[in-house]
This record gives sequence, C-alpha cells and structure tokens, in this order.
Amino acid sequence: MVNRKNYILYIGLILSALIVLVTVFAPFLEPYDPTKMELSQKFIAPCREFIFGTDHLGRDIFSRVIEGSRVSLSVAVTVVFFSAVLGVVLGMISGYVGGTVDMLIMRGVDVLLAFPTIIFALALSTMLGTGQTNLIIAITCIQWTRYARIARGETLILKNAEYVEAARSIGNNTVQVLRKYIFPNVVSKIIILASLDIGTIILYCASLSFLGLGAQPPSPDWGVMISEGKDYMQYAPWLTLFPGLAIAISALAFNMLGDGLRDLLDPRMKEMVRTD
Amino acid sequence: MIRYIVKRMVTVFVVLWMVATLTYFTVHVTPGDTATAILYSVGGESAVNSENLERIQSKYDLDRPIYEQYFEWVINAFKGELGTSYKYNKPVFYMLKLRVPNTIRLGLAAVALSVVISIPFGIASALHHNRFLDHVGRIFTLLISSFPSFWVAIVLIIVCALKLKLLPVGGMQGPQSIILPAVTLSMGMTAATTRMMRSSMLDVMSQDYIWAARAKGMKWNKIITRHMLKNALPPIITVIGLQIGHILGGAVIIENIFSWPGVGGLLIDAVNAKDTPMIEGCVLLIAFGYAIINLIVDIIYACLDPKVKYTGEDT
Repeated sequence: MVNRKNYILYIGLILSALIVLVTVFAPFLEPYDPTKMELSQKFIAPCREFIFGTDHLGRDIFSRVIEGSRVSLSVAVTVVFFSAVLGVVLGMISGYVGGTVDMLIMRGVDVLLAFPTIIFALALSTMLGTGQTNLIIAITCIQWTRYARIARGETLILKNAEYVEAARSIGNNTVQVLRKYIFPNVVSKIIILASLDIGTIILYCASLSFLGLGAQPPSPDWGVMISEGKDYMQYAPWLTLFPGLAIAISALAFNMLGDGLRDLLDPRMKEMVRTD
Repeated sequence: MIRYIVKRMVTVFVVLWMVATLTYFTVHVTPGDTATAILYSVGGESAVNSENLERIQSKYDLDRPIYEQYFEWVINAFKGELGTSYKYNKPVFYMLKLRVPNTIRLGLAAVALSVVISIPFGIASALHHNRFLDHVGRIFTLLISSFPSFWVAIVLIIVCALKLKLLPVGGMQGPQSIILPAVTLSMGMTAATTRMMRSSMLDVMSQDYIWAARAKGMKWNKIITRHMLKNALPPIITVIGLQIGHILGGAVIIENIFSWPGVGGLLIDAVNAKDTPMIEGCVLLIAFGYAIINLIVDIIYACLDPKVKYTGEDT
C-alpha cells in the first residue's frame, strides 16, 4: 500500500479529500458570516476570536477563506469538466476521422495554443466582460486543446488496432466505435490530465480574479481577497497571507494527486502534459 | 533542412494570420458599439452622447462594412500599423516600441535564472534517482509550481522591500530593481524545466549505450558529460520554448504588481480602459513573439537532433 514511492499520491489524496470536505461543509465550519461587515472590528490581527484576523471592512478572514474554497473549486471543476468533454469529443473525432476534419480541428488547436492562456483570457474578457461565468468560458476556450491533443494521439494509435477493426466489421458505426471501444482506453490519461489541471486552473482563476477579471468584490474569491488586501500589505499582511496559502495548498493538493496518479496509472506518460 | 525551415515558416505565417483574425474578432467586435467604447475610454460615462458618437464614427471610419475594416486591419497589422490608442491618443506601435525592451529584459532575466537553477538541479535529481535529493527536488518543484506568482510577489515585497528594505518595491530604477520581478516570474518555469530535465536524463540513463560505456570501463564523470548530457539536453530546448509562453503570460501579472514599465502593464491598463487598439496591439505582439520564439526553438532543435524528420508535423 503506502510506500516510499507513492507517498505523493497519498498525501495528495488526503489533502484533496480534506479540501472537498471543507467545500461541502463550508457553512458549518464558518464561525461568522463571510460577507457581514463590522466596521468597528476592522484590521484585527489574528487572535483567538478571529484566527485569521479581519479585513479592511471588518469581515472575518477565516470564514471568507473557507467560503472561497467553494468559489475556486466550483470554477475549477466546471472548467475541467467542459474542457475534458469538448477536448475528448473533438480529439477523438479528429484522430478517427482524419483528413480535412482533422486538419481543421488541429489548426484550430494550433492557433489557440499560440496565445499564452492568461493573454487569451484577457482578450476574451474584453469581449465578454468580467465575471465568473465569462472567466469559465475564457479558460475553457484554451484548456480543451490539451485534452484534444491527448485524445487525438491515443485515438490515432488505437484506430488501427485489431479489436477496433473487429468492432467496425461487425457493424458498429463511428459513434459506437468511439464510445464503446476507443473512449474507455483514452479515459485513464484524461483523468490524470484532469486532476493535474484542477491545480493549474485554481491558479489561473486566482490570477485572473486578482487582475479584476473573474469574480467581483464582495465575493469571497481568494484572488479578489488578495487584490483587496494588497493595499494594506504593510500594516495588515494577514489580509493577503491566508488567501494565498489557501490557493497554494489547494493547488498543491491537486498537483500531488495528479502527479501520483500519473506515476501509478501511466508511468511512461510524458511530463509534457504539464507544460502548456 | 532548408525545406524544413521554409515549411515551418509557412505554417507559422498561417498561424499568425489566424491569430490576428481571432484577435480582431474577439477584441474588436465587442457586443457594444465601438464608438461608445472609445468615448468611454477617453472620458468615462459622461462623454457618451449622440454628438460625440457621430464625430468619433467618422473619425475612425466605423461606418464602413465590417469585412472591409477587417481586411484593412489585418494588412496594416502585418505592416506594424496597429492604429491609435484611444486612451493615450498616440500610435500603438510607438507605445509598444517604448515598452517592449523592458519586457524582453525582464523575460530574459527570468529565463536565464530558471535555466541556471533547473538544469543542474534536474541532472542532480536524476543522478540521485529515488534517493534523498530526488525527493527534495520533487517536493520543491511541486511547491513552487503551486504558489500563485502574484502572491509570492506580494510576500517578497513585504519581506525584502518593506521590512528588510533590501530591494526596491517596484519600478525600474537601477539594476537591483529587476531581482524581485525576475525571481517571481521564473518560478513556474524553473519547476517545469527541472522536472523535464530529470525525466529526460532518466530516459537517457536507461539506454543501452550507457551500459556499453560503463562496461568498457569509461569513467562515470565522462559518461555523464559525453553521453548523457549530449542526449538529454536537446529535448529541454523545446520545453524552454513552450515555457516562454508561461513567462509572457506571467509577465502581465508580475509587471503589474512591480510597476515594471513593460507590455504587460500596458495591456492591463488597456483592458481596464477598454482601449481596443492597444489591447489588440499587445495581444498580437505577445502571440507573435511567442510563435516566433517557438519557430526558432524548432529550428535549433532540428539542427541539434538529426532524428527529427523534416515533415513539419508537430503532433
């Protein structure tokens, strides 16, 4: 079971499970209302009553950090879900059908990959406007390409396998072949990529909200909290410290989970999936 | 070889054209009216009235059909004429020319820093595979790729600039002001390159020719330098090329925090002011730069590695 080789996976698993639990039971863990302002209690340093202190509007930072996990995790999971569905469908079609369809899809991928993610999200947000839904759309627009490349590559390898040919010859149509015979073999790589991606997307979302493009104040989003707190960093560093640690711990948890899963399920999968 | 380079250049040109098109249609064709956006970026809410709108429409040729505007825009973009900033009322190209050298300086510093750290560290991790140093390396790379760069930037400002007063808070005065931005910007790339260097070394180490070299009694140090590094380094060049995308994206945030006068800060200002020509100029410039860097990387890689089949296929 747990040995020295896969300790990363187990630490990641435990941490991610804890984060999911915090997200689910957030209302029960918050000592105060995360949006309630109490101007008489602003800038209280961390103490027994407010363990993470209070912010410039007298809101309890601990409660806000807990509530923020809901914002971050829901955005990350939504982005990963839609990217994976879109990427896998287009990638499998691209690999299986080939020809012009493949060329069109892959050129589309090339063009999207020509933009650094943050830059494209910035450009798109000028069209769509700021806000959480638009942030999800903007990141999904880029992120699906990673899934598409993996799904296409796997499909290209599998499509000439004998069992796929057999499936075709007994009368399965393209959709059936892709769904029943190709997809189950693509899915393990997609799961690895998805778990690695959650960490990456938590970071992207935090960066973009920090720049003012994602969730808007007074939302208890971690990026927004850091952005609000940075003006007071000299006198009240706890405003930025705790949300930052929350981002780092969640990103770390899912990075470790993905890293461990990759070692376990597919040790030969190239590290390339991490770079984008 | 020449054929490969020409083929890659044609592909890059097509991609650039499509990048320009995509940029135009995402940024330029906003759901709102462009004239309103111009007035908004110049004078805020109060400047938007029918008299001003008419004047702006004729000044910027906004009453012509969209496809005419598009073709003219793309052709001008390739010529370097990116229009006039609504906010600064100066040519976008001129503004970019002022800012680009600063971004290049910061980017180069960050890339150099991460190469200097990650390559020796990656090699050492591989040579100590599954031993203490390797575990430390793995945890270290996981940690630095999990901390948000903008937060690290703020913490560094608090500690190094405000508390210890060792380094300037921001801006660009003197050589020491590049240290903090470059360090934060290089983090993500350092993590990715270290991991890649490690796995590339591990790949090479399990090859038969390493066993052959050991069997014939070659010294271990010589095996490392002559056989391992020679084969493990070229793939890293591709990773560095891809990581430059990360650096360019990260620069937008880091420049903003440290008030570094580069393209990133310009882009954020433009986004906040809805300064469309400026946003387009910055986005295009960054995407073009990224594409061209990767073209150069591919060519260097092809020169170093004779195994690359000159087909131009990238997947």
